[in-house]
This record gives sequence, C-alpha cells and structure tokens, in this order.
Amino acid sequence: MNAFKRRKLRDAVLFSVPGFLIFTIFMLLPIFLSFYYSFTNWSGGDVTFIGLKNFREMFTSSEYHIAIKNTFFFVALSLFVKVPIAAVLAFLLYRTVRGYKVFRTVIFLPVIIAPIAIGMMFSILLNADIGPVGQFFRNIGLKQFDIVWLSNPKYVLWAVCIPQIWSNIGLHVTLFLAGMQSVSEDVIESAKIDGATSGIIFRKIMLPLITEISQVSIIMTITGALKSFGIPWAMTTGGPGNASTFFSILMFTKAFEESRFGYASAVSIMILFYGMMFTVAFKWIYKKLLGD
Amino acid sequence: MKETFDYARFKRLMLICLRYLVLIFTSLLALFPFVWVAFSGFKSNQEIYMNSFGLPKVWKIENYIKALTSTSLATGFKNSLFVTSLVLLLTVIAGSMISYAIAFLYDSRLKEKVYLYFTSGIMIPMTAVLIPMFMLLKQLGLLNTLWGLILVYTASQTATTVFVLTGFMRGIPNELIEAAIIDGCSNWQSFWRIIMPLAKPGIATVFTLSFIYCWNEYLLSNVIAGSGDLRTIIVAVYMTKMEMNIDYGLLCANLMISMLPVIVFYCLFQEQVVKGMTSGAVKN
Repeated sequence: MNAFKRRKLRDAVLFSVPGFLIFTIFMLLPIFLSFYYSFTNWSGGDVTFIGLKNFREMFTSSEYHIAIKNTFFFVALSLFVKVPIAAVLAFLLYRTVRGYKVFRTVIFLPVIIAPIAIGMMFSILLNADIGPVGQFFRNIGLKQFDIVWLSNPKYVLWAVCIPQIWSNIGLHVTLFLAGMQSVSEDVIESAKIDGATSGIIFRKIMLPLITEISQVSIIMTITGALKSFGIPWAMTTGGPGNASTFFSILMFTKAFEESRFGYASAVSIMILFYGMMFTVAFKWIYKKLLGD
Repeated sequence: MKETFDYARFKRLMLICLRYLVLIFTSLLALFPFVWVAFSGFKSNQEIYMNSFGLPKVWKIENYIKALTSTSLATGFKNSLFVTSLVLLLTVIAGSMISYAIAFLYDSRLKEKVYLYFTSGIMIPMTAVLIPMFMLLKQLGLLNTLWGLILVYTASQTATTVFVLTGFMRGIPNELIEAAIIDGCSNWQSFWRIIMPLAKPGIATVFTLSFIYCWNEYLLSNVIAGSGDLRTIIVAVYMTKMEMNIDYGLLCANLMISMLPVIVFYCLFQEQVVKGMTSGAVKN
C-alpha cells in the first residue's frame, strides 16, 4: 500500500469516528442489549437471567393479543381505506395542473405535526361535552353517534385509528404523486390519443407502473402501525383497559409505569421482529410478482 | 353546428369540477382540526360548547396571552430550540463527514460495508432501543440532562443523514477531490471548502428532516428529560393537558402555540419539506 493510499484510509477512518461512536453506542449497542434484557427479569435493580419466560408470559397474556388484534385492525383499515384513497387523491392531483401545489401543501400539513399534539387535538375534537364531532352528529340528528368515543370500548379503536390515518395520508399521497410524476409523459399522452379515459389510464397504466411505490406505502403502513405511539397515547393511553393499546404503548407502560424492563424489552424485540419480518416478506413477494 | 350540445366537452368539464370538489373537500378535512383549535383558543369553555363552529363572539385573547407568557411553555421552547440546534449541528457535521468518507475515501471494497453499517439504523424503531438507551444514559450520568437527549437524537438521525448525504455526494465527480488533493489540499480542506458548499441542497434536506423530528419527538424526550425545567415543548404542552383539564380554550391556545413554529417553518419551506420527507420515506 503506498503512502497516498494509506493517508486516504487514515483520513477515511478519522472522518468516520465521531459519527461511528455516537451511532454505535446509542443505536446499535442498545439493540443487542435489548435482546439480552428480553431474557431477564429486571425491575431496575438486579438483572437475573430467566430464559424465555418473558416471551412465554407475553404470548399467553391478553394484552399482547389485544395489541396484535389492534395492530391488525389498524393495518387492515390503512391498507383498505388509506392506501387506495391516497392513490386516487394522488392521481387527481396528478391530473390537476392549476393549483395542485396548493392542494398538496394542505393535504401534507398534518404529516409534519407532532403526533402527541395531533392526539391532543383529536381528544378535544372527540370530547363528549364540548367536542365538535358530537355537536355535528347532534345537529344532523344522528344521536346514535353522539357517544363518549374515547371511553367506549366498542368504538375507541376507531377513534384512535382514524386520526392516525388522517395525519399520515398526506405522506402517502405525495409518495404516489412522486411516483406518478416520474412516469414518462409520452406513455400517458399516447394512451390519451388512443382514446383511454382517466379511469383506464389510472387502472391500466398508472397502477402497474407504480408498484414499487405501493410496496413502500404498504411497508410503511405496517412498520408505522407497529411503532404507533404518540396519537393513541395522547388520546387514551391505550385505554379503557387495553382496548386501544398498541405494541409501543404496551412496551412503554410495562417499562416506565410498571418498571418491568425485562418484560418490556421482550415486547420491543417483538416490535423489531415483526417489522423486519413483514418488510422482508413484502419485498420478497413483490420481487416474485415483478420478476415473473 | 355551434348550437349543438357538445356532450364530450360537457362531460370533461363536469369531471374537472368533480375533481376540484374532491380536492377542496379533502383540503378542508385536513385543515378543519387546526382551524377549529385555533379559533377555540379565543373562546371560553361555555362558548366552545354553545358556539362550536362559529367565529368567537367575544374574542378571548387572554388565552393566547396566557399561553405566550406561561413559564412552562417558554422553558419548553428554550429547551427545544437548544436541543434542536445542537442536534442539527452535530448531525450535519458527523453525518456529512461519514458521507464524505464513503463517497470519496474508502476503497470500493469497504465503501458498501460502511454504508450498510450506518444505514442499517433506518430499520431500527426507536421503541426497540428505548430501554437500553435509558439505562446507558443513566449509567453515564446523562439521564435528566439535555445533553443525553442531544446525543440520542443525533444517533437516531445518523442513518437518514448518511443515506441522504451519501446519495448526494456520490453525484459529485471524484476528479474534483483528486484535483484538489494534487494541488495540495488536505481532505479536511477539500471537505469544508469544496464538498460542503456543493452539498448544500442535501444538507438542507437533512436540516428539515431533523428539525421536524426534534421538534415533534415525545417518547425519548419524556423518558430522558421529562422532569421540570428540562422538558421540551411537546412534553411541556402535554403536561398542561393534565394541569388544566377543564379550561379547553386555554388548552387549545397552548396547543396552537406549540405547533406554530413547525407550521411557520413548513409554510416557508414547503417544497423542501415535502420533497425531503417523501425521499426520506422511500429510503427503506
């Protein structure tokens, strides 16, 4: 190795060191520690190794099953309502020449707001005494919807999922829009000349050409649901009971309210595991679909 | 010919109208919560109840004055500003140095490995590292300090920063660096004088992403610096929810004030923010 190359490598290492230290100590090391803690019984003091006991307890607990059920509900609602609406809205924006930026800016606004603030806003909006949602249903005579949304176990999941969809749909709209804008205009133009209607252009040309974006959108929906914390936390803290709990809420409550750090670590490992599993699975499925 | 009803044209016009109607309705839906909260901030509890959808009949400015002069919110602002600016500084410097090394210094064999090492962080949800992070900071004596929060935020932003900036720097021709080195520039000089000015658009993206992240983050902030005068703005405003469960007008004013910096920032740099966050999302 000559002197020039050696100096280059030395500089490369020197340039990487500050970021390497911060990143390794505070991001990668904690992941491995999380694995270790998940096999221990630990409430802040002594750490005792207990093998798979945390996981066994978790898999048989009702809260874990409620968290899975709620996450599934949220993912399903997102995939069947949010993603299709986002794709259609993106197409409408794509076809709009005048003022599309204004609409895009407005629709994106909720994406940049703190989830905790959004949760607080919606807990006021859904407040049974003074919230405008109840007022609205009273005014139009639909008394059956004038209910205490946030403490009714039957409806609370809807009440915490819809604000999350509301706050996040803008991101998916712009994702799809960016995908559509990268489709060559010649393709669309020639389809128009051949007499294709908007609906046909959307279904037969746009959707097949933006499968990559839809993959990103679906993976983000799933990992987002697994990480979901701020909005449901500010609205219900997972209640009443566990009716609106999600994995991150479960982890947080176990760790910082019940001081069960070992058990909470096991929950966080499951968050990581499900996230990775679904990401890899969807990438594989898409590869198969597109490859053939 | 002119009088005949042009059906195709009529249909096209109707479709355009329909499209705009849908877009306007969606925009109103996106704006309504903000507008409602902003106006309710000018109302008393009774007026929120009696006059939910109208403009305030009596403008109760006291709510906003109280929110603006509240010490807990002011402390929150100060802390958020301090944390955010230091995280921005550290993230950009540490992240762009790594990106420089990846784009220009490491040989082709190591390049990809180093890149993968850092960008692997994109896949890690913060909830999965929260507990060990908390314990680590406790051991280092950094729990209940803003510095602990700054380090953790910087670590969590490293992956995205390296992803964005490396992508950007790879577009800069290698010859530029080589020529500078031959002219006697050190890597340090070429990094600051040549690459950083050229990477400005990439740095702007990183700035936007990190600013919004730091201003909005609650989980880590609450766990690491959740007490007393260390609270960041979001933690502070969430605490006011408990303190004034009854005065909704004041709560709305507080909320509005805490969201305002991000909203103003967004209005000023909307193109940048939308592009940055969309590209940041495609990363995985």
